[in-house]
Parts: sequence; structure tokens; C-alpha cells
Amino acid sequence: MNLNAFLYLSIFLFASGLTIVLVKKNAVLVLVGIELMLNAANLNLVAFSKFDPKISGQMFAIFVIVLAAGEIAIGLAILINVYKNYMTANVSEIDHLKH
Amino acid sequence: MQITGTYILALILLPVIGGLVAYRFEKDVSLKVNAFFVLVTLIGSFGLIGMVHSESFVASRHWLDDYTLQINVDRIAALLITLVYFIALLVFIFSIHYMKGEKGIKRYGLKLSFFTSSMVGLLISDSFILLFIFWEMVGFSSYLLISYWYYEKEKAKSAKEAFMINRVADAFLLIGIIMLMVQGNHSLSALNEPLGFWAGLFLVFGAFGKSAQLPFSGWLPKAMAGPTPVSALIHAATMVTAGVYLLIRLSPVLPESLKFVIAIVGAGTAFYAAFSALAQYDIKSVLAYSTISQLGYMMVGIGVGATTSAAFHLWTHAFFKAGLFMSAGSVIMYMHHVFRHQYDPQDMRNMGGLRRFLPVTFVVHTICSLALAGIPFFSGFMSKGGILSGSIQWANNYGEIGFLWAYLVPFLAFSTAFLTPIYIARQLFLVYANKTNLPIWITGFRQSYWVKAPLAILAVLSVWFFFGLNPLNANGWYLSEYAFASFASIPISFKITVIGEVVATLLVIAGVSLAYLIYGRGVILSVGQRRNFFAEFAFRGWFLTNVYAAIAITYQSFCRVLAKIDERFIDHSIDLLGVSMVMFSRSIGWIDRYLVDGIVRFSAKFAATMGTILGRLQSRGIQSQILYLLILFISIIAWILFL
Repeated sequence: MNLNAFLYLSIFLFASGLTIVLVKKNAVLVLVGIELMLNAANLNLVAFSKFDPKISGQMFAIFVIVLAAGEIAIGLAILINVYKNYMTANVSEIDHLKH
Repeated sequence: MQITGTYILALILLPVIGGLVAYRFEKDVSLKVNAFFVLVTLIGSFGLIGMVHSESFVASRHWLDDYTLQINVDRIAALLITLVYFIALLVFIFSIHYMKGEKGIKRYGLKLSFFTSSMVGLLISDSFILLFIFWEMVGFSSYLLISYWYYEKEKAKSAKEAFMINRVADAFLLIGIIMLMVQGNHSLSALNEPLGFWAGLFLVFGAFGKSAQLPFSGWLPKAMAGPTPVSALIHAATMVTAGVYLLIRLSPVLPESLKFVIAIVGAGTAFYAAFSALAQYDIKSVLAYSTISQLGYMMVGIGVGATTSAAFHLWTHAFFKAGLFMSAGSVIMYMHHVFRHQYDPQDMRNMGGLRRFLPVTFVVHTICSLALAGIPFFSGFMSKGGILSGSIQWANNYGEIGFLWAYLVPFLAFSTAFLTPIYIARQLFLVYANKTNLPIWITGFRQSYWVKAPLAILAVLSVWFFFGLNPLNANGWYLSEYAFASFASIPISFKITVIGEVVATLLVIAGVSLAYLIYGRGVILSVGQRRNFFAEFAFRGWFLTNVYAAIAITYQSFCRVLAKIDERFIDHSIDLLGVSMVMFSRSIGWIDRYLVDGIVRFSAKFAATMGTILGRLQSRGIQSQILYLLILFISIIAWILFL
């Protein structure tokens, strides 16, 4: 199999995630975008690891999945609290730190 | 000591107080009140003579740092104070009738009192500052009195002229005083070494101004614009002698060179004035020029070293000249009464044969004229004799060392002695003897005793007996030993005294005869008569006032030229400087406004714009920030990869 096919898919996923992060107003979808980018990175790692005899690439991908799980848990928890306080999940409106 | 000081102060102030008190009285009696105060003062001044008999009274007050005002009343001052008050009293008495019906009699009385007090102040002042103050006060009060009829333009103008000429001379006096004070001399009595020539010259010129010597003579005839009693007091007996008095005081310290100047100027003035008096028609002008001439004699006396004779002449002159002026005053009164403004009451050409109407005045006028002319047995002969013989002796002393120019002084003095009887006899003939074409016949005019009494007193005081026992002894003044013992007088040999007196007497007789030949035989002068050049020359006082005017005009045009130069060049360059300064400032301002301020404003605006732009970057929410971060990140990667 060709490595480039994996990389193109990974680029597509990453670009999609980045676009979601930049464009979507809802914080949940932003988190989804972040998840997409992380998974694009995971795909990269796994794909490189397929053509590399060492196991370390896959190990790294598992680490990333774990981290993503923790991150999404904390992120959602914060998001729920923010929503409770501000009654909104719109990232543009949550700007109280600015002042 | 203290009592004497208060006494003297009271003596000075009493006439002025009298003048103020007189304001409270009716018009008719106000002058009598004045006269009463002066009488009291006169009696008081006799007491003063007693007080300073043994030693002179000196008092000083500290004034400012380094300046002390000092008065010094010695025998001379006390005697002259008495003289001033005596003449002033007679003048006040005379004025009571003379000024009757005039507007502002009270003003007149106060002015006259003020003058009298100032004059006495001048006599007693010892420090130069005080001397100058009273000197000015005398000049100023004289101005006030000359301009008594201030609403008559011609008279006000005369007063102004007289005052201005005095001012010029006073400036000289002030310069002299300042020069002396710079050297550390603050009072007359402190002077004990010969004066420096220049300081002395300025003082002498100041004295010339007050005493109407050349070149300042022109003011005295102008001063005749005042009332006649004023002329009798100020311009005959007191004020004009102030200069002589100052020089008598200074005479011990005057250097020989200055005495020479004084003698020459005095002799020249005496001759000048006597010559001018020959052609005057105004009855008072004759007397004014005669006064100048006699003051010239006094100057000659001081110049040649016969100081005592000069003082003697001052003394006798005060009486007979006051008598002459008052006689003239009563003549004017009569003529005024007759003419009632139709003709000039002072013009001698309008008079004639008045001895029938004014017998007392005629006698007094004649006696005083005899004294003035210097007929033996009258006062003028004695005092003038001393001066004349002194001048011969002095010229002899100079002649011995080969300086023959000195003979000019006795020559001029004797010429004056010849001219004096001519002009005064001319006056007597024209006024009292000859006829006139005008209607001056009037009956029922009676002279008041207020007029007759002072005249009679002054006539009596023109006789030798009141001045010296021997009528032919020029040095036999009663007071010469009493008051002037300290003055070194020129020793005059007996022979010269005799020669001087005999020659003077002969000249007087010749002069009177000549006057009789010309005027004594019924000449009638009419107002419109043409004058030849010499008469015109003398009538105009040698064109002295024209010379003043020429000097003034020259000076004025000089000032104008200076003003033009100032305007054209100096002002112009200053203008130019100003304009260039303004232009320079404008350009600096432009640079400041557009360059410096522009830079500042540009940077401010730049910062503001940048701040807005960059601020806009920040405030768009988290997503755009992430975008920028991404762009930056990509740029960095691109930079690393491709550059």
C-alpha cells in the first residue's frame, strides 16, 4: 500500500478539523474539530509505523488516544460549567478573560 | 540756642502766615493785615541783630545720609534781613493804595509775603542745598509776581521769558553746587580754600543770572510787567541782589582769575545797561536798566576786591532804587487816573510838567535820582565812590605788572558814571518839567498818605547822614567795621580815592549839564517819532532779547535736525530690526508648526493607527486568534523550509 494515500487522508482530516475549529461557533463542535485533528495525527503516526519495523509509532498513537480522552473529558466538564455560568456555548461570546 | 532757632523760624514764616491770615479779611484791609505782620517781623528782626551781635547763630539739621541742612545767621545776614523786611514793609504800605480796586489783592499779598520769606530764607541758608532751594523759591515767587496780571497775554509772556532766563542761569548755579558738593563742600561757611576755576565759574554764572548781569540781563526789563511795588521790592532791592550777596559770601574764596571775570562782566553790564537806559521811554524800563547798571557796579566792586563797597552799594541802592520805583509807581497811578486806558500810562513821552500835580513825588524822585547819579551828600556818591576808586587802584595794580587791559574796567565804570546822570535827569525832565501835548491837566487828585509816607521815608534814607558821618568819605560806612571786618578789602591809597571821587563828581556834573542841554529845554517827544540806529540799538537793549531768541531758534532747529536724524536713521534701523525679527520669528514659527509639530503629530497618529489596527486583530474572539496563530505558524515553517 502506498503511504501517500494515508497522508492525503490525514491531511484531509486535519484540514477538516482545523476548519471546524476556526469556523464553528459552538464549543462542542470545536472540541469535535480538535478530536478530528488529533485523529489525523494518529492516522499519520499509525501509517508511518506500518512502514517502520519499530513499534514506537503505534505506542505514540495510543498515548495520543489516551490524552485525547482525558482532554475531551476535562474540556466537556469545563464547557458544562461555562454553559451553566454564561448560558451559552458560543466561543465568540465567552470573552470575559479579555477584560 | 534753641530759642534763637525758633525765633528765626518764626521770623521767616510770619509774613507767609500773615498772607494766609489776610485771606480771612475783607479786600480793603487784607493788605493792611499783611503789612502789620511784616511790621511785627521787622521789629523782630531788629531783635535778631541783637542776638547775633556777639556771635553768629549756626544751626544744622541732619537731613539725609551725608547731607546736613545748615543755616548761618551772622551780622551780615541779620542786617540784610532787616533791610528786606524794611523795604517789604514800605512796599506793602505803598501797595495798599496802589493796588486798590485790583482783582485778586489777597493773592497779591500772599505772593509778596511768600517772596519776602523766600528771600530771607536765602539770606540765612548756609548749606548749598538749602541755598539752592531758596534760590529757586525766590525765582519762582518772582515769576508769580511778574505774572500777576496773568490774563494779559503780553505780561504773561514777559513773566515766562524772565523765568526761563533765570532757569538757564539757575542750571549753572546747580552745576557749580554739584561740583562743590562732589568735592565734599556742603556749605558756604565750610569753604576755606580758593575755589576751583570751573566750579567757581558756574557759581558766578548762577549769580550773574539772578543779578541780571550779561549775558542774562534781558530778563530784568521783562520783569517790569509786574505791578510797580513788586518791581520796587524784587527787582530793585532784594531778589536781584541775591547774586551779589552770594558773591560777597564767596568773595574770600574766589580766585583772582574769577574776580577778573566778575569785574569785566560787571563793568560791561554797567555800561551796557546805562547806555540802554538812555533811549527807554517806559518810565519803569529806565529804572530797570538803571538797576542792571548799578548791579554791574556791585559786581565791579566784588571783582576788584572792594567787597565792602559793593555791600555798601547794595545797601544804599536798595533804598534809593525802591524810592525811585515807588515814585514811578505813583506817577503811573496818576497817569492811569488821568488817561483811563486811553494812552499808555507808563510812557514818558505822554508825560510832562507833573511836578505841579505830584509835588511830593517830584521831590522824592529828585532826591533818589541824585543819590543814584552820585551827587555828593547823597548816599549813592559814597558807595559808588568806593567802587570807582577801588577799580582804579585794582587797574593800577594790574597795570604795574603790564596788564593794561585791566584799565577797561575803570574806563567803563567811569563812562557809566557819566551816563547815569544823563538818563536819570532825562527821566526827571521828561516826567516833571517838560510839557506834553496830551491832556493831563486834572484837578482834585490828592495823593494818599499811604503813598506819601513810604516815599518820604525812602527819600530821607537817600541822604548821606544815615550811612556815614563824612559825606565825602567813601569808606566811612557805619556798618563796614561792624559787619564786614572779616573781608579783606583792597587797600586804596588816599590819593586815588580823592581822584576817583573828584572825577566822578565832575562826570556827574557834566552828565547833568548835557542832559539839561538835550532834554531840559522843553523838548516834546511824541510817540510816533522815528529813532535813529543808535537810539533803536539802545532802546532794544542792544537786541539782547533778539539774541536770546536767535539762540533759542538755533537750538530748536538743531533739535529738529537731530529729531529728523533720529526719525530717519535710528528709528528706521530699529524698525528694520523689528521687522526682520518678526519675519525671522514667523519662519521659525512655521518650521515649528509644520515640521516639529508635524513629526510629533505624525508619530502620534501613526501610533494611534497602528494601535487601532493591531487592537482590531486582538479583539475578534478566540477563533480568529487561532487563525492568525496558524498563519504565523505556517509562515515560520515556510520561512524555515524555503529560505
